[in-house]
Amino acid sequence: MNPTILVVEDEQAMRLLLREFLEILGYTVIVAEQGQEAIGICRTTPVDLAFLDMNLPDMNGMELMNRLRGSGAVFPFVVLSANLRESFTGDVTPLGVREILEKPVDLDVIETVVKKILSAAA
Amino acid sequence: MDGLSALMRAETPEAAADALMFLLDEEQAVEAKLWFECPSQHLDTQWARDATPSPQNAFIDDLRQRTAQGTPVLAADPDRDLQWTGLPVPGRDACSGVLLVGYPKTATPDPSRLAMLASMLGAKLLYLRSQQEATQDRARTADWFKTLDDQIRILEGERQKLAALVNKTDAAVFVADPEGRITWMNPVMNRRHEHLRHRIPAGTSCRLLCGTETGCDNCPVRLVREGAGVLHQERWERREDGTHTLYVSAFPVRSPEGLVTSVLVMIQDITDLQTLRRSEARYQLLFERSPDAMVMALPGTLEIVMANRQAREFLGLDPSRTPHSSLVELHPAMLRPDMKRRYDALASGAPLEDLEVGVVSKQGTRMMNATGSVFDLDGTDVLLLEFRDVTSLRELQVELARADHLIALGTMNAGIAHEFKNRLAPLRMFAQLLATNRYDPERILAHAPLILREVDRLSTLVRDVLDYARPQVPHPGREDLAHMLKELTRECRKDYEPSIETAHIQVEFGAERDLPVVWIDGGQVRRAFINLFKNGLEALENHGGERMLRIDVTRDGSDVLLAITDSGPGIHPDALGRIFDPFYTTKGPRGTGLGMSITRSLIEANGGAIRVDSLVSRGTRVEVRFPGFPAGSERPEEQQAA
Repeated sequence: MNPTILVVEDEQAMRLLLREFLEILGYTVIVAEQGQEAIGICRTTPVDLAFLDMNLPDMNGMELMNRLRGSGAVFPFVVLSANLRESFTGDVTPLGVREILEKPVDLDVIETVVKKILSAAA
Repeated sequence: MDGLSALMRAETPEAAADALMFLLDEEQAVEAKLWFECPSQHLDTQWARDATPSPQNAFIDDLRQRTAQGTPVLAADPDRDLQWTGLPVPGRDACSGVLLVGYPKTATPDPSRLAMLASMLGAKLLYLRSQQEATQDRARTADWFKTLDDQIRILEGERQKLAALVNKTDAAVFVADPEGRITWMNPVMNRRHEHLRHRIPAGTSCRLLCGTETGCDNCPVRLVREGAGVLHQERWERREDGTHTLYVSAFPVRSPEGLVTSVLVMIQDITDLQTLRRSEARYQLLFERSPDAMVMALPGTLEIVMANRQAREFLGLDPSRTPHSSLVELHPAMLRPDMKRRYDALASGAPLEDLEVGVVSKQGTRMMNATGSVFDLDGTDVLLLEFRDVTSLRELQVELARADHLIALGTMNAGIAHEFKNRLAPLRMFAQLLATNRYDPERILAHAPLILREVDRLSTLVRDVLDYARPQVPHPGREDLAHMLKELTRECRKDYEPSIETAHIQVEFGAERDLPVVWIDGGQVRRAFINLFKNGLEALENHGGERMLRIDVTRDGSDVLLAITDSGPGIHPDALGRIFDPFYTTKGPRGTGLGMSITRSLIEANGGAIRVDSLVSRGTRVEVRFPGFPAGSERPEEQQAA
């Protein structure tokens, strides 16, 4: 069975294109616009990897990751951000962030990162 | 009455002479001549029985002179048939007389009787003279008495006046003899004395003055007694209600010989006067030392009545000319039409507030913030103008604004970068997807409208950034805000008809009549309004409750107030505080976060002010205010240029 990837992104174009590309690569993709929606999805659906935008309308990426970890999620995160300097406070590795990508991001980079993380998990 | 009685009773020398002639007639004499000389009396008379007295010839003169030697003389008249007897009339001291009697040669006069008559006449004349002198003396004495009486009356008047003065004055007065014993005191002194609870101590003015038993070197009574002349002293007296200041004056009272016979002492309580002077001095000090320039001037001419140190410095006022200088003369800027109008309005009661005026002084051009009011000074209207030097404040504000601007610029740069990257990310991804032939182009191209929207958002972003970054130079003109906004509301209603219709939003407009005109750049204010209108609509679009957007144009004091009120969800207090921050948005993908920043800078560039009040779940009210001007007013720029 194909691994399931969760994309949490409030920008519609980014969200849809990311889903398109990941589906082309052969993954099962679930999308969420906001943090709360993502938490809800994770309660019912097993996820293997999550792409998170750091600026969400209802919460920021840090808060979302903390809450997901708090509700028992164990899958790794790939963070997407338009401004790396402002998005993080402190070390995020313990939270399970495997990769941080700065927008705009190259498709090859996404492909490499996803494959690397998922093969390591397998 | 016989001749002798007549002589004895005669009351004047002339009557005595007449009586003598009558007696001589009885003695058979036919002629007589009488001379009598005294310092205050002169008698020169002659008599003849046949009424033709003999002429004053050399014989008569000779006879008179010989008789004046003091002994009787007998002589025959060479010209007439007469014999003459010359008899001296006895007088006293400087008095002397001569009586010449002529007889017919045949007659035999009795020489002793004649001598007796001459003596009697002399005695009578002397008596009359002394009587006359006594009368004169009496009259002179009466005059003296009268003069003396008048003097006494004048003195009495003066005395009464002095007594009234001394008894009615609020000063305490007493008189002491040279030994310092009290001889008299007025009622005030009496009361003072009561207050001091002293008994009048016979023999000591010192106790009355300062409560001591013996006089000191400083005692005014003693000093005056010893010849100090008039003396003034200031003394202090501790009483139940505090320390009183007494002003003591001592005057010597002298005898005609110039000796000091007594000393008059006057004691005045000048505590209140001093308090008043001190209080006045304090106010004077406050006025003089105020860091603000304060000027009292007459309304109309602006003639300076009084100016404090700061005012004198900044106006370059010559202190010697102060009462005559005019504010206008010193600073023609004060004559600016708008200033003049403000002063005139001030005179009719409207207070002058926060009027800023540039004044060229020795320290360069200073920005002065003027406030003023009219008050009544002893029945004259006086303008009190206070000028506060706000140059440093303004400079600081400019600095702060610059710093603010730099911070904003930093925030903006970060915001711009963030926004651009967010917009560019899908574009790059789209392009990359299309560029490879690994994927189905049909599926990718289906996303083209999304990409187009992203491009549009990018161009909106670029325009907003430019709007925000470019200084907004307004080109103001006279605008009727109510009319302008009524039209604009109509246009907006049309432009946004689809959303208004779909969301069932009620848009209402209301304006007060006869509002003041505003001086604004219509185009800029229209853009600001459209932003606010759009914000209001967007707040209502997905709102669950009532959907109402109200636009009101009203008067608030001299300002014109525009209020845009929506019944939307309101803004959370945290968000409200950041509402004007660039790139702050709550609208998600729809906003660039620059709308409110741009709106504020547009309004402020046009001399307006904006504030936002909001209550969560009740709605939001945006207030924009512009200073109003009377409908016929000049253009503010022209006034400033004048």
